[in-house]
Amino acid sequence: MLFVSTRNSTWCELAERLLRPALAADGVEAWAIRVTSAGLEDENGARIDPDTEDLLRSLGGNPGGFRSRLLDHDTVDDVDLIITMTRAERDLVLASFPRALRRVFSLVEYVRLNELVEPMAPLREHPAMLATARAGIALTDADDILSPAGRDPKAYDAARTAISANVHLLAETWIAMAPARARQRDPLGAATMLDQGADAEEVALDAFGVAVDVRCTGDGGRALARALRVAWARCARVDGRSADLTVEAIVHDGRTKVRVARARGAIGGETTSEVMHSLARAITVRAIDERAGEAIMLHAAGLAMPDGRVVAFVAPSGTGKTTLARTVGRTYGYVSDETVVIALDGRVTAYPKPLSVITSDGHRKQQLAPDDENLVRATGDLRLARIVLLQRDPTVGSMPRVDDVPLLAGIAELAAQVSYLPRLAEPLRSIARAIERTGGLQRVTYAEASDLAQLVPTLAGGAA
Amino acid sequence: MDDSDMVVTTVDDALVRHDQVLVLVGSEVMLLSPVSSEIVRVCAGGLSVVEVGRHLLSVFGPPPDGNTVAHQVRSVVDALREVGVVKVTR
Repeated sequence: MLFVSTRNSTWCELAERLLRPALAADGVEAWAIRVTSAGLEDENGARIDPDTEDLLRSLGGNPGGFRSRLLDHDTVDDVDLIITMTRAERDLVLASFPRALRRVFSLVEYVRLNELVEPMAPLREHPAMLATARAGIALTDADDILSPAGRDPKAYDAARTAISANVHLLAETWIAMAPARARQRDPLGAATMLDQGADAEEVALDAFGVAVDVRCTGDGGRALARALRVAWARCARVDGRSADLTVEAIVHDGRTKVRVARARGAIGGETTSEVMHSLARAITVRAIDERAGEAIMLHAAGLAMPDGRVVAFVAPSGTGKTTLARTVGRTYGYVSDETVVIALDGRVTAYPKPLSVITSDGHRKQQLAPDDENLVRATGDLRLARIVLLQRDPTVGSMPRVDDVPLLAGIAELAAQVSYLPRLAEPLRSIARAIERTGGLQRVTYAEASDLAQLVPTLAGGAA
Repeated sequence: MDDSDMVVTTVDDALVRHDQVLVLVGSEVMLLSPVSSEIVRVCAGGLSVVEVGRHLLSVFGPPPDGNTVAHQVRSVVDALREVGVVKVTR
């Protein structure tokens, strides 16, 4: 990722130098998320601005070795995400580098979109997913973090606080979804210290064909394992396969121990529900990483007819997939509320993970067991029957509207919701074959999730 | 951009249906206009700017906005180059 501001030597450099240690403190190594910065009006090689240097030191950052660089095409092409401090700077980047359209955001814009969408996908895919949700947030002048150079000392404090807070929110969001290989080291020798006397237990899960062991440790290790076994019961691995990957999860009631645990790459938190939330993201994203290139992995809710025909309802995160699965899944088989995995021959692998539902306080998602929600089990040989683009419109009435979508325009729209599309053999043709084999892409516009139950048999292409 | 500069399509994957082309460049999927689609198709093996202009003229006729074909080619190729769909070499 790349921070960009008008002058690299003053402002975005501060964000860069704060994000790096924040990620490192949570066990994300520098190679996994590479953080750099550049300026729109800089001279290559300029030293850091003296005021910024003081500011950075006061925040515990290290200004050593900095040399500014001017933003250029190669730099833009080399990064997955570009973050500016203001919307005006974002627009300046876009004016000079239009190809960055779905990769450039202001800092506050990106943080807000993350909170709105909560993408459950590899980090590299977040910008495109978030870009489609831009209309869902309203930003004001107060959300721009202006350079305090030459202004009142209070402006420095305000800007420093804003950058620091938002940068730490970014780090917090990314930790659970950083590549797994970045989480193997134990620089502090913390494993022994944390595991002594702890209740360690392993939970064996199957995430759409990927064997995942969750190693639950810490003071609340056993309680976490119990909660996982209930919430993830339908993903329990019972075939004795050894794990393709292991995720370490730690519940401690002390913040310091949680920090130490995270520093060695564990999913850590002070409460079971906090860790359960992060685990849902970590398991999903790491399983997606594991199957990259093997299957079409749609960010979709999946519902199955009794004979195994599956309708995949594609929608950006945060726009109703879980509500749909939770509602219509009481009538038709629950395949997933997040990821529908389709083999190139059309077979579907179920991923009946817990439903991620926002708690009543609105701050964190709760993981509900499909059994507790009385969701129907998806049975039979699951195979794709239809891909549907889902669009909610409260004005449409109780009868959802179904429209055919032209193939190419539909794939262009669908692409942001397909994980690791470029890694598939013949990416566009693979998607086209899956769509054409099932009678074409359709868009369903609906008002309430419950209205969709009546449509499932028709969308699946046959009688109930 | 000179008349003799070579335009070469650089997409990672493409899907053609009727007169339109859908392309994958890196992780970006783009649906191209009919004129852009024709350029991407005809430049798969490389074609000079002036040859691209001749080809577009034969397929679409003169540009409807009154501009010259030469102007249209440069404008569209520039936009395609900007998003990584083609490269232009001397």
